[in-house]
Amino acid sequence: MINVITSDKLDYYKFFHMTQDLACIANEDGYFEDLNPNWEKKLGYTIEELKATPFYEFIHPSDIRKTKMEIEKLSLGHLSISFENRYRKKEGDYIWLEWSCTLEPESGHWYAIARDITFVKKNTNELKSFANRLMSQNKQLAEFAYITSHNLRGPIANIMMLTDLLEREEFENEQVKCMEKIKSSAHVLNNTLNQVIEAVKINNDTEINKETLTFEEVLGKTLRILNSDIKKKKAEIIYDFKNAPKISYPPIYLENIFLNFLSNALKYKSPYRDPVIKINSDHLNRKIHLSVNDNGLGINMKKHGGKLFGLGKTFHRNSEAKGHGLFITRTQVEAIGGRIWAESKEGVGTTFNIVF
Amino acid sequence: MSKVDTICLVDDDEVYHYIMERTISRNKLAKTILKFMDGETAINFFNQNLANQSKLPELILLDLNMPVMDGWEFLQEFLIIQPQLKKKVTIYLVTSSVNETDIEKAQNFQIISGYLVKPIAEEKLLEILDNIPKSFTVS
Repeated sequence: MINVITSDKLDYYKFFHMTQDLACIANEDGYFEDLNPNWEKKLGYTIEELKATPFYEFIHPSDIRKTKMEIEKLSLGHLSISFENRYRKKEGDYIWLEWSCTLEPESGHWYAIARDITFVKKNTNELKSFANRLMSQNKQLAEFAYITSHNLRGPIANIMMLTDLLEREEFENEQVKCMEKIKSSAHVLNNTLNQVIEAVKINNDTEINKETLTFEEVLGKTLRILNSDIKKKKAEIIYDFKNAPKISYPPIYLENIFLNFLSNALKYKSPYRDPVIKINSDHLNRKIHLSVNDNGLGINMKKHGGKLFGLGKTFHRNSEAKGHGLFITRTQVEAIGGRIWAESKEGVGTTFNIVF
Repeated sequence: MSKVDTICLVDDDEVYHYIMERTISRNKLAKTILKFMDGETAINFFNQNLANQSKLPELILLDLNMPVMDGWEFLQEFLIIQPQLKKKVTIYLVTSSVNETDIEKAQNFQIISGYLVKPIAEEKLLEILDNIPKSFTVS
């Protein structure tokens, strides 16, 4: 084919060929009519290859619907549109393109300019995840400030008042009582401090290794630890992991989750019935969701809901279990970007949920 | 002779209840001590005894951070029943944390006589009680 270019068209021709952007003309049948040489450089195909293939075939499968919807606007009377999508390079990876596209109604041709924004996209995503991390760290800092002022100052103030009181108490039996209170306050304080230290450690340990774990195996390990308690309380454990059998997660965190939920379910069993504990995994909004349901005492959520995952609750310690409390479990889950919550009804039972 | 008839503790910390109870009874500061673990049980008691106001306290030591109904919510409820009270009830906030926003908020409540940060010295409690009208003031 011979291109005859008259001098008045030369400037436009140069412009089309020399622009740093990706310029093209496409038709309503879904093919490129003409492309500038930058396309070859950016995507690695020849101009002929690009012209011979319907352009939808280059678009990332997840972006096709979005792109079609945008192009539809042209037939609805919009004269120009702008959008973003991903185009597949010859080597197989994708670049992000920012499009602006104008329709010429008479010929039905689309005149479009695309700009490679892969670098910007990558940076934006990095910034987003960075901002998210900062936000959650900020939240944790605020929480630590609250913990130190409330959970640590509380027992310290008590110990100070108790030692004052001890000096003034004249009767031995009152002095003994006072000593006991000092001891228990010191114990609470020590426990709280240990948990705070543990939580700080978890939050600093962002590089913790994830492994592919099967829920069934981790549950098996937990059941062996709790074996005697399960037998003693005649607990029935029902599980179903077939919808989501595996997860990539730090092993000690997942073990702690199971140990915590199960030992709680056993400890807070109803006096009227043998414990039945149901454990399920499935998918919720593309994420793995684990639920542990029991028929135990249940929790008054209005009264204790706010403190359930808070510090200072030591209702998890079991003779055989050496798992940490729900506060630590929550810290671990949130450090990996997950969410934890409980639903409960007094006298009916409790369901603990995690979206990983 | 006790300084007042009744002191009311509203706080979810049992150790604190014990400390205050001992301090009050050792110093004979009140004949009766009312103890509540949250704002709701406390306000219920007030509502139930509006017809029998000799049972109501002259002094309330009110914690801010409590489950079910916290100190601020208690104060809102208290303001509603206050016009029906025939005696002066003095309220002090008692918390374990110094929180600037709480202090500012407290200044907006005229019924609050002060903001105490734990630990509370025995002397401070005596001083507060010395400044409380002991007998009934009928308004």
